[in-house]
Amino acid sequence: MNVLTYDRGTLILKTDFLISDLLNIFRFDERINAYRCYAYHYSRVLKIFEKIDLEIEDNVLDLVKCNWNIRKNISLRGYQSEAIDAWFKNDCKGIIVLPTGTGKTRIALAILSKLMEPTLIVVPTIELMKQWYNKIQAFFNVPIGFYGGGKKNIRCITIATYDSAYINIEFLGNKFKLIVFDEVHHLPSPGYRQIAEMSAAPYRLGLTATPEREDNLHLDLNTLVGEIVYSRRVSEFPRKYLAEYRIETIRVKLSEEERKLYLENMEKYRRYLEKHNLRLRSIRDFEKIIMKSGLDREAREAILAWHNARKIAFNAVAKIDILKEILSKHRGDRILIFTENNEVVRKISTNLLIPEISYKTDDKEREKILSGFKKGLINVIITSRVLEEGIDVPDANVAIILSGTGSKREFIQRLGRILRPKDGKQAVLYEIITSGTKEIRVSRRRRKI
Amino acid sequence: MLPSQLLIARVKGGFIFPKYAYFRQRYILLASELIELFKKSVGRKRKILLDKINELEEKAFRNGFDYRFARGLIHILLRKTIFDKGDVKVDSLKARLEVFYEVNRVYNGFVLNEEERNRVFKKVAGKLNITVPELIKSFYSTYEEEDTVKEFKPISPIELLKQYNLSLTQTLLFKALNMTINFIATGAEVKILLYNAKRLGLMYMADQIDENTVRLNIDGPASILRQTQRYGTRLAKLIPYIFSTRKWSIKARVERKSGRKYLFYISDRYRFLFPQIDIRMEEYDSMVEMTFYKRFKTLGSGWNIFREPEPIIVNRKIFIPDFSFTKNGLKVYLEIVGFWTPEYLRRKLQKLSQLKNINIIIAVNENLSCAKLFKKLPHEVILFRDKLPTPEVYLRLKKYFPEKKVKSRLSKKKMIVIPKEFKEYLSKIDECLLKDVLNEGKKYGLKNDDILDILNKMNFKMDWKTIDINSVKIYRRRDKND
Repeated sequence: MNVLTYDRGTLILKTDFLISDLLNIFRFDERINAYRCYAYHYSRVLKIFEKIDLEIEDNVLDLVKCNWNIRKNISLRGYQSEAIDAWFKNDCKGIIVLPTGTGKTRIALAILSKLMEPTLIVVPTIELMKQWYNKIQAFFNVPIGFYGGGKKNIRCITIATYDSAYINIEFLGNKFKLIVFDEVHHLPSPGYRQIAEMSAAPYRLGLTATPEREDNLHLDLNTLVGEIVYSRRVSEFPRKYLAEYRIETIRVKLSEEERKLYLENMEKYRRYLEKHNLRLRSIRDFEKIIMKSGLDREAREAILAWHNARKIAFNAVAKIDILKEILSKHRGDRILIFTENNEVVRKISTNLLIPEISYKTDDKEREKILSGFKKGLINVIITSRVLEEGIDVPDANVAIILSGTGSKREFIQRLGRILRPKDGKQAVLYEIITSGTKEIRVSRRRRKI
Repeated sequence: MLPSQLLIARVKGGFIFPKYAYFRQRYILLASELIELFKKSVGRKRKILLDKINELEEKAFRNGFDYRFARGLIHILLRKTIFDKGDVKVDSLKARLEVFYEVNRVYNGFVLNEEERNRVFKKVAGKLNITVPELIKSFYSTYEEEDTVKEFKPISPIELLKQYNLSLTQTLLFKALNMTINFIATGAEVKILLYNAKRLGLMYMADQIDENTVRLNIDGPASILRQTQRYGTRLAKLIPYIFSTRKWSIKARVERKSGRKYLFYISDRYRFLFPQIDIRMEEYDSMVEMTFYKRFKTLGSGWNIFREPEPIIVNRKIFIPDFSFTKNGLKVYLEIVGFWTPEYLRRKLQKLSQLKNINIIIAVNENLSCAKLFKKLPHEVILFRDKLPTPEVYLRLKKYFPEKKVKSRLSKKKMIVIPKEFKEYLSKIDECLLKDVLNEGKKYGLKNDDILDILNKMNFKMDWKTIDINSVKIYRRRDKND
């Protein structure tokens, strides 16, 4: 008798004999005297048994009990229906690539309404958890659970952060028929990929605007989620779905004093590199210096000098003045200010009395600020990182970037934030850069989308 | 446990070893300086504490300390510190929202100078009926740095260094792929270790290394599919349980960021570096066990009884019977099978059926639906109802003595002349307290052990309803088949 069960992210096969097709998947586990494989092989294993016409007792799935009601029908645009069809045609597996602001969530909801099966939705941030929750609530009458942000309850539809899903997948892995990965480009990392590997869910949907990763790991998405079944880039998009926008880059000079300090610090850092014949070709090289700086005083001073120089570039006094100028020009507009530096966030928030959203902001306050922004009680928000991905900020039409890390994806997504359709309104993205500093190189790198 | 960037470890020839804090003068000095700083900071703002910490950290670094070491100590001290938001007139969130809404109403969402800013605070303060400084306090109180240090649980410098060393070990193991431990431990210690390994979703395989030493290989279900750091944090959580055993050594394969793998090895030779760990144990698994243990102790049977004896290995799994009995170098185990999930009972039955060359009595609650299956085990099996009858166990124990010995004991028994008066005394009894009979027997120089045998022979039944031997009753059996 062949018996297939689920065990903490893996499948266990008890069998008297094994054919070669299965040997490619399973490995013998002497701890339990049975065969074991990662749970994501589940549908493949069933197919093999079907093919060789062998009976198998399948005890893998232990699905969450579900009771659905559709509140409101989901209307779809042409390309959205195309994407959904393509996904269904591919055996309910695969990735849909669409630019930010073109309704990826809506596509997922339409798929949910057709399947009406227990579903796990994995998202990068707590903010996105809440956003998915609101959208699901608007269309369905269905119990919704959360994993992440201190919550842990499993329901018919369960929304989890990548971090929480990684930790809890051993328990969650056989409770759902469909697993949705929002911002699926996060998935292939050595840790997060285990969410896909340890889940038995036969149906898989990945959503992203930018599937590529610099480390090429996105190639693994084929086996983890499925191939790309539908893809359209920003340039292919008819303008009517996206607001018009323009980018204005403003260069800011350092003050005499700032410039002097900046150069001093950079010089110190450079001298250290030269003296020790170090060349920085990658982040790894830089990390090595940081490692050394634990005990090595010289290395530590060099790192401190580098930090100081960066801080000066990010914090340039003139940037604050320019910011004030831009703000005055856009009185009454809905404005989002981004800066990666938490000190800058705090400084601007307390000086200009602009509400801040950072990783330290209390949950309740964050919620109030975001809903205030939607209702028009709040016009301007300054934020460090939390709004990064796919957050709905409905009708912001001005974005100001005060600093950035130089990652390509981040730039697109921040840009995407103001690309929301809004009747006839032109959106502006300002980028304020300190000239004559390292930061410019960061900004140039970003623009090569 | 520390954030992984604070791990300090040396790598040499395929081995990795944490840089432990030995109790050198300068380490103790830094530790006590930090502890003093925390003590002094009670009642102050968090940001003042943090500033002072930074100063001390910088000073330590200038004096040749690894800054990760100083930060590690600080990390542990911060965990012993309680912060407090302090009293505010108006809830922080409310105050802040009022300010932001006002800024939005009057200035479109931002103020451009100090004057506008003051005007907003004044207006909102008036609206909330508080003073401007009170409003400002409420407004800022949301920021962590504004918290007050409410309480700090003091600790000695040596204890701090010991806790640091434990944390360092655990932090190293976050990146562990698997772990092998050798140990000598009591059944209770092993039980709690395995219980926690199971609770954490880990798996093990056990081997007997020598008479006392057991080796466990611990990893997780997916470990045979791919080496993974997934279980590292959980392996680290087992460390305190291992450290609390009598003798131990730990071997772990640790993967570093570079992808290279190293071996970490440590043994109880280093025990002095770590805090004394007391693991609180569940006293008994069930009432049945507790009552049985106490009754048997008072029985005066000549057998020594031990709870949760050292582990036995069956098919590379560990089995810890509930009790062991020893007498004249002979050892017999007792396993009590009570109510459990069918799955658990099935596994237990399988484990027991694989036991070989071991003296074991199995006591099964006869109300269990699968009690009959246990009856077929190749061991002494007792079926019991609510309480495990102590004399029954005692009688079964006697069976384990080699034939000859049993005989000699029997003949010796026969040679026990039941004093006439005692026999007479018993014949008059239908029901009485056991302790009275024991006292009576003593008068004729009889041992408790012998008296129990006599009672049994004379068809008395003991009613072991209570733990207290003083209230145990005996009565004459009416039905021989009972």
